[in-house]
Amino acid sequence: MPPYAFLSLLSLLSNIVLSLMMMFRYKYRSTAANWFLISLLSVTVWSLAEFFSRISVTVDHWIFWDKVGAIGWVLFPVTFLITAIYFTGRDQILSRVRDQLIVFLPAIIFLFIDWNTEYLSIRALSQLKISAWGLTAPSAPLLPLYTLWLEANFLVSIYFLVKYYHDQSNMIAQKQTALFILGTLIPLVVGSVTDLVLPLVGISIVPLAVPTLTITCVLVAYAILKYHLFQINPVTVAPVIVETMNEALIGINNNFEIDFVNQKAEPMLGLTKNELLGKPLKDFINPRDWSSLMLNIRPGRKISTSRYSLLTKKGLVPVSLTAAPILTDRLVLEGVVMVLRDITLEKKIDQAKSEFVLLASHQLRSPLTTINWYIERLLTSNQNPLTKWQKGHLNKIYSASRRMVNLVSDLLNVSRIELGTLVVKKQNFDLTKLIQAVIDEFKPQIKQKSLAFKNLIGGQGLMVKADPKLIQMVIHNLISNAIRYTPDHGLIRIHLRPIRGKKQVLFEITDTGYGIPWAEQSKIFNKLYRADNVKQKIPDGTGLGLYIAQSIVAKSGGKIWFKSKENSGTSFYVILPVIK
Amino acid sequence: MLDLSPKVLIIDDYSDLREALAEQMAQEGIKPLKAEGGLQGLEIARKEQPDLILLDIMMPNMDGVEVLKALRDDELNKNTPVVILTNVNEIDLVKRIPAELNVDDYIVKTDASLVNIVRRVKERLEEYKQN
Repeated sequence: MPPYAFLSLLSLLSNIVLSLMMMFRYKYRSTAANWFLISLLSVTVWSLAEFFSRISVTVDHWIFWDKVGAIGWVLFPVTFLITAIYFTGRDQILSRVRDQLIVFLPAIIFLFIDWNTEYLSIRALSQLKISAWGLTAPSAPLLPLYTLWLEANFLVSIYFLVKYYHDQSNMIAQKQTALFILGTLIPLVVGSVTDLVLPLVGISIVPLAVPTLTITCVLVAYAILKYHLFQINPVTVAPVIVETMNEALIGINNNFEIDFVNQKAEPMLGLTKNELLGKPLKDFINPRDWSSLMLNIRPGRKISTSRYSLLTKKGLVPVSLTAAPILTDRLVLEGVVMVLRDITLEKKIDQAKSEFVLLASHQLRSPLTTINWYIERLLTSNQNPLTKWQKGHLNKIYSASRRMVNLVSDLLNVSRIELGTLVVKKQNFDLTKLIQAVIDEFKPQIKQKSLAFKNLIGGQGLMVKADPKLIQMVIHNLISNAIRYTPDHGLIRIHLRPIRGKKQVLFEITDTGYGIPWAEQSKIFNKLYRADNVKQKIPDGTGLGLYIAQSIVAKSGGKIWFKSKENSGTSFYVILPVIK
Repeated sequence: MLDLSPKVLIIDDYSDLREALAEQMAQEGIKPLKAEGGLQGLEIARKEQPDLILLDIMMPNMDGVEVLKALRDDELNKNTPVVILTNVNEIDLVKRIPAELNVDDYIVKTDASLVNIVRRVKERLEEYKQN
């Protein structure tokens, strides 16, 4: 075997090994890596042809393999340039048709010329020489042009790579680039000198382009093994992120049909990707939640996360859902991106918590009743009168204990609301009478704070259909709030009147109290929320009253809202249905 | 001398509460009768024919609803006014008491003071006397 054939074989084998290594080592490899693979493939073809041409026994064989080799050396410069372009993040270059032509067209022309003429390689038998290395031919007339093009490709590639190397601050990235540059520079410089430049000036020595490519393979393989050259950090690849995330991701088009789902959406919705695509979103959302979801994706609304129920084969699945609208510049809805998380477990924990609170509050109430009743006996007993001092102290204990009862009642009601076990027993009753009874209860406090109390509920009865015990709690809470949060000598006004052709009644309570700061108004019905301005003034509120009131009114088919201005007062409004 | 003060029977298994309530009633001119369970309550009701019965719901052996049914079946007590005295955790139970058993009032123990309970008892007695 001629020595040159052996060197070609070595290059061929190292190229194959490196190609296989690149194909199977990384799950996530860059576009640059794929182009480098193509580049390696062209070198493989080249060294394969080089090997066979050197061991050719007939001229016909030699010509055939020389032509095959041309595919390799024509494609190598251009694929290497593209590798460099992608490696250095200059992808946008290849998006222009003009630049694509500049890159690819010369390669195609050169290949055409080589296969059909003798302007690039001379294959005339008379001109061929046999040396120790095998058959060689003198240089052809168009070879300088090809040389120029090849060198231009490599110069641009090396320029990109060196510049990229300088811009890198990451040590690993620098080492990767340095090895890549070095590995490609050696065969480029050596090869272009021995294979092209020297033959042009008439000096004929061993062509070293193909043999030195073995060095490239070794260096690149080293960079791959040691510094993960060409590996992509999967965390930076959007599709990888989307498919790996633990939440379901769903893309909805402007017809509200499902256009995209990730893997996690399949088990959550209980259907496969193919079954899901094109289905209307409405099929999967609990009808009760639909309008609220539509409201949330309106243009201009702040994106928020809410709890919804999904309609699936397995039944209702509670999810936390964030829906972000995709809008045009003119705020036209083009689609919605939804992220969903299954919150079944959280719901269960929440329920366990509520059950615990329910149990604890029940247990607290019996001893509290005993305490209160016996304090009362001590305070009211005719036979064993207490001293004034004793009575004063006992009264303090009594009021604290009453507060505790109220707190426990609130906790109890919140738990019942959250567990959905609040029993609503609707019946017709006189709301006027109920409100009057509550007012009577508060008379001592009203007197104590010297509040002006305007009662405009009227003497005529107003029948409503609701649960009187629950409505009593609402009215009690609103009047109690008005008294608590209005400074001494303030004014409280209560109004009750039928509206909408006597189909509903409107209860209105207005005070001249501290008011609710504008910024906190949206949270005032939230559980445990208390406005900042009253937290210091009246520290012993729980922030449960309005939450309970709102839940009860909602369950009664009514509505509750308010208007308020800080330091000038608050008006609360409650609408309840009159059903005959 | 003939005792004209009204008789109110308290049926409650929880002795502390029963005693406090009885004390308060005695002080306000009501004669309290005490029973610590349903069976004893029914026996006293038959013997004494109270003017009103305060009935707890959750009791061992015989619960308030059963006592109420037995009272309504008893010729002597079928019209005796009954006020249910309950714990809040019995509220759901109370809401299921059938209307034909004729309950006059419901009082939640924790929410009511003794004075309040006695006032309401007196109101019922007053109403009953007028009818």
